[in-house]
Amino acid sequence: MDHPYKSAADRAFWKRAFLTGWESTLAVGAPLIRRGERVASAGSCFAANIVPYLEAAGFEYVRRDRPPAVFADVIDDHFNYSRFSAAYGNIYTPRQASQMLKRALGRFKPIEDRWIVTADRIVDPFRPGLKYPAACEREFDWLTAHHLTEILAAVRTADVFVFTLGLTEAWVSSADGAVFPACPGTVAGRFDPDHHVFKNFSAAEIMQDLTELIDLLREVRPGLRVVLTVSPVPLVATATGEHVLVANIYSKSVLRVAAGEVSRSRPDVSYFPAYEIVTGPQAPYDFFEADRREPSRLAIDAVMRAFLSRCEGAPDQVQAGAVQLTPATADAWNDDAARQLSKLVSEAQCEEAAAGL
Amino acid sequence: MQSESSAPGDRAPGDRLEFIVAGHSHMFALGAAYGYEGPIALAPVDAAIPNGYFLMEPWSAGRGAAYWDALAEHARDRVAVLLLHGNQHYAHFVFAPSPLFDVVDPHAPNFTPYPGAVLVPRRQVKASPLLMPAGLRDMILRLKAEGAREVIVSGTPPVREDFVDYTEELRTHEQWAAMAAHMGMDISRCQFTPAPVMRSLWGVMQEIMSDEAHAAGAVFLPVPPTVLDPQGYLAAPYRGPLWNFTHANEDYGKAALPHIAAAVAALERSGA
Repeated sequence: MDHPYKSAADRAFWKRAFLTGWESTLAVGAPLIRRGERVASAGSCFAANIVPYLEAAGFEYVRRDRPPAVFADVIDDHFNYSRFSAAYGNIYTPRQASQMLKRALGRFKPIEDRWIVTADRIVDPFRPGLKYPAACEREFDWLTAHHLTEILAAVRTADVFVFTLGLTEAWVSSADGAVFPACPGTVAGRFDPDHHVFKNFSAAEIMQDLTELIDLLREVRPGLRVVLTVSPVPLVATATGEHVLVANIYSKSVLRVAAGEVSRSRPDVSYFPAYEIVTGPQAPYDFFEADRREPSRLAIDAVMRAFLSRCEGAPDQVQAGAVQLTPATADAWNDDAARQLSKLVSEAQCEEAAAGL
Repeated sequence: MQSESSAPGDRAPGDRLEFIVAGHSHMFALGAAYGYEGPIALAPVDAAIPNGYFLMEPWSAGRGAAYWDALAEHARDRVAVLLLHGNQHYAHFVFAPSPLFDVVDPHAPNFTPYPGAVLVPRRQVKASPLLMPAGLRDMILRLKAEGAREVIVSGTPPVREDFVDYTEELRTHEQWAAMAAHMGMDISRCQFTPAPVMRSLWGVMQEIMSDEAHAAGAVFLPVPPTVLDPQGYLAAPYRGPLWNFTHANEDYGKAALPHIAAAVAALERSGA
């Protein structure tokens, strides 16, 4: 008797789905990224890992709001500000991302928009880990305005936007629902139970927020294609009162459902199964470091091998450990030459002054 | 210029507190003789300011250990006025890095970022060693430890707005074009740091010097307000020839020296 499974590919059967090179059969369809397209990304900390692989494979990653390489030695990268397209750092929930775009578009102004630690130290609640906060409110206003402008510029420049969902749990302002990337008082600021409330987004809310995010992105950049992924990195902690393992599985399940639903219901939205590659039962034990939280280099290589196999014109192989994961400083050489020439001009002035005097 | 050897600490009662101006090339705008060829020695700054001296030595694009040793010795019971470096903004940024960057100037009432420039936090620029006057804090601490009555760190000449005329002209010089090409740059296409950005960098540099001075227990003396034009650039009367845009002219010195002398007098009145 004939039935649908008779003609199904090996990838449909658990027993035969994990033969050599199986990652490339994980998803099929149009390329996630085509040769010559520019890619921007945002999301949780895991999302930052894709950037060096994309660049090594010859794809252009959009970088805005990035100081020249001459300041590379003073860039703080603990919170990934220098590893995303416009210095926004880790974004864990789609609502945080959509609020960021609304701020950039002038449609949302959080009430709690700055933390004045001292008169000369003004912290951005939405980028609390910046190593170099503004030295006065005037500088804060300019830096924030510039940052928001650069976000729009990054989206406008991109052809593909990769968004990695990280968490359902967040801390929000009780005044207007503004989502903070970290609980106030942890990275910076001061926790105030009257003003900072816990929020665990439901699947319906995540789906709604993702849809809104995609609409906003496409309002800024019509035709933008979107790739959704879910971070395999477990929660560092939960505020639900549940065991962190239970809270983590709930959170990742909600995100996975939302990503799947939205990618099926919206045009030009793809889902890429990074979460499955790292956390599925097929994954080797050493896909996580000893803390069982941090994905290993092997895992990242495997994810990116599979990702690049879905991109047009990408190299067939990702050599294990071959990609440098630290932020690229492509302009460093040019900056060095510029500095050497500047020094020569300055010295020549002194010599000419000597001759003149 | 007459040079003078002077034993420290031999002030008679009623004598004014003496000061010694020492440092790098910006001393020459104040009147220190560029072609000085004698031994390391003190030289009066100006007949009208009898309590001020330059610490002189033949200039060779820098100062050696003997110069600073002599300063420490001469500065005992006097005020040391340090005019260190001051061209770091030009020396690192005449040719603009990529991307072009700007820094918020919180003191400029009408500040707007340079179009197209990435805005870098002021703290981040200050944290870079590029604008830091090398050795300033150590020198202050040494002078104070060895008996200087007080140490004043003098501000350095502001940026002149028209320096970009000079840098743009560099594109036409075969020598600079060849040098740039040797470093892999096309001088006809490279970007020079615009004047407003250079002005901001100068401001950051003054702030760094002020911070260093205060951290080491010294006094920072900003440039006289009169040398600035309304936009915060070096005012036209204090500019020398364009080919020497990194230095101010002698009229700048005529404004700066009394400014320094007044600061020393104020210190004396305050009991320094």
